[in-house]
Amino acid sequence: MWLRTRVTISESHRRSHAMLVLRGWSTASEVYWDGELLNRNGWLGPQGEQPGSWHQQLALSPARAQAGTHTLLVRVSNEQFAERPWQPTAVLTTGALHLAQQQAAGSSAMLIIGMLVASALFCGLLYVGFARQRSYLSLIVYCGLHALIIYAGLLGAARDASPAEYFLFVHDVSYLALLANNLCLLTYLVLEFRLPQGRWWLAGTLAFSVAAYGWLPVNPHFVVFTVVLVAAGLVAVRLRPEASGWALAGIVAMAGLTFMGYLRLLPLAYYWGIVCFIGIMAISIGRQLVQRYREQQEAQLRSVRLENELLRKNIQPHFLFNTLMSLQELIEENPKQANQLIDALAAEFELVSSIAEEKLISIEEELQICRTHLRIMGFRRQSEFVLETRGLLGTEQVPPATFQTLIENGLTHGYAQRGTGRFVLTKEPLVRGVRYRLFNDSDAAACSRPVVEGTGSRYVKMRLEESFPGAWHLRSAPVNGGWAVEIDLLEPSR
Amino acid sequence: MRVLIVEDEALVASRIVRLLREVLGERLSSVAVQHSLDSAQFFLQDTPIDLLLLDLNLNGQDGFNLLQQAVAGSFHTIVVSANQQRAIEAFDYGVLDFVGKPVTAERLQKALARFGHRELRAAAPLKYLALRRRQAIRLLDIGEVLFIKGAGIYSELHLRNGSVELHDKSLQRLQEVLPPDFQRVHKSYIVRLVDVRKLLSHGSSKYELELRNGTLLPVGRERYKELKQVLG
Repeated sequence: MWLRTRVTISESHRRSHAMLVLRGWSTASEVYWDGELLNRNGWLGPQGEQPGSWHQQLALSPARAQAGTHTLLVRVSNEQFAERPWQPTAVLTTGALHLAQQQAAGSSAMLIIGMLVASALFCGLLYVGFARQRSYLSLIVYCGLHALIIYAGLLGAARDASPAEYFLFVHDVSYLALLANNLCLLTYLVLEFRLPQGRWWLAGTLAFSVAAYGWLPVNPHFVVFTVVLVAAGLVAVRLRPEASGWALAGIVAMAGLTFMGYLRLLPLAYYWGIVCFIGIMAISIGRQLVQRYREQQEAQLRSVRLENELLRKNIQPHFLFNTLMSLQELIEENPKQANQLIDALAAEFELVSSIAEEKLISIEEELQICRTHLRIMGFRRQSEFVLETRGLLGTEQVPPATFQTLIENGLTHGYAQRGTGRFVLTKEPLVRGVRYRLFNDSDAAACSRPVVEGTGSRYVKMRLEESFPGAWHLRSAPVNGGWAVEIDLLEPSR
Repeated sequence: MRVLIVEDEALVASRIVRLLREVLGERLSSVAVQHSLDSAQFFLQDTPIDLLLLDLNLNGQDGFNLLQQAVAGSFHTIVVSANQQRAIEAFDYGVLDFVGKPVTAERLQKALARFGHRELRAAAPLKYLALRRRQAIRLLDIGEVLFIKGAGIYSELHLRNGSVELHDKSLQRLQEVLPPDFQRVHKSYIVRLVDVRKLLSHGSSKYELELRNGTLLPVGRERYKELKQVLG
């Protein structure tokens, strides 16, 4: 095949070292300048065709690069790579300009590779340092594959690269890596934002990639993936707007920069889009980690406070000093009861100390604490308090001192000089969870005074939130014959 | 001495009664125990007392409601509570003392010693005077009081704005809880020293005080020398 074109060299270019750069004239070609053979690249076919280089840089001597119109003639044969896309280019430039362009492209590529490798290392540190979250692995692969694509592009752009090497590095490796990358990005979104039906998102995208491989060009492929990624980002924003907004912004920025590259407004725009996306995600992940760290700190602090509060309940002045004064009086009046009160007090201290560090204890242990406390208060008030249970197995897990605190509240507000008191703890199944109901036959309901929330109620609520975050309800209200507190513990939604 | 104990725990109340008998002996003419704020208020309507021993945490209720009514009464109040963090607040209202639980005989004796002794003031001076009104208690900032005039078993509070309020406590009992800068100048008058402009002597052992607003108040002969020293 012969291809011919006319080339005009102006006066201003005449004094420069002109250079003819040809790319993609696979498989073999002969270049003629004004009818003279300038270069033979490979050996022309059809029989015995030998491939030449993908790139040809041909210097034009001053005699050949005179101002005026010249004829460029290329004889080409393409038997071996006839099925490959064929887009040969020929550019007349100068040696200095060509060198500068090559250096700029190489520097940009190395800069982006460095950024991507650094990002991959950063994600690796995040993966190792923060609970081995699998979404970070997706980002590591994403960054690594992009670095590989750019490096393959550099190999393909080497001066002596053959057409076979060029097609391998620039077409095949890039195409496969692009498919894998988009899957990685989708995997990251699915894992990071716990998208519903995540497997279907991934399976559908993988099926499309396999089906479209080989016949769908890169650009339409990219458009399809961008649509899928934006859709996943929108779903994530709807479910978890606090964190996923950044991810969506990153995807949109990446798509926008890529489109600029398509319009040839920005060199290496797709890769700058990747860097932009990684940068935005780094900010987003950083914010999330700071938030998570703060939440962990607050949770630890809350646990310590609750433990401290539980231990303090038994040494708070109102409980301890009134108990000690009651004990002083019993020593005078009824030494036997005084001994029993000391035993009960020691038992409560021992029980509370043994469970103070626990977030959950068995209800059997909780009932022991409750009954011991009722014995102590029975001595102090010179009354008889009983605790009945219904429907309990004994192995149920509850936060420590929850019902003891509620019993203490009941005793405080509704048993002034009553002589007797009855508490009933019942467990009932709910459609999705379990309900504990603590009834007391106190006079609190009969009093016109409103029962305000005290430190006891706040303690119970904080304990419930610590062990069953967002999955509990507590109600307290007068009922027929007394007062009832209901605690619903709900099963976590799937 | 007629004493009312307001305490919701039976054994603690018995303990306080035991200690009172031990400390006061024959001076304790009567002692009653009430276990709730409501019953205590009801009791006080009909029964005159000299001293109230009050727990501040009664069946989950805030004893400060009763405290405000108590300090407006003619009797003195001593708080007996485990909640010592509120002691300063209690003194602001004019209690004679704050005894922390568990109560000892020595500490109770010290608190009771303040009762009826002119030279022994309350453990800390009050900031508010509680005035009983028909349905409510009004708290008066002590800074509003210019001077106090005895009116039998009551006292007249003469305020800076010219108005006069009646307090249920006698001049003697008020003096025991007022800040030190309130000085008894006459058997019927207490003034705040910062409001005194000058001390006047009219001869024949007749003395008067002129306040900054021009009010003239009589000064007792036996108090003149002491007052002259204080005022310089």
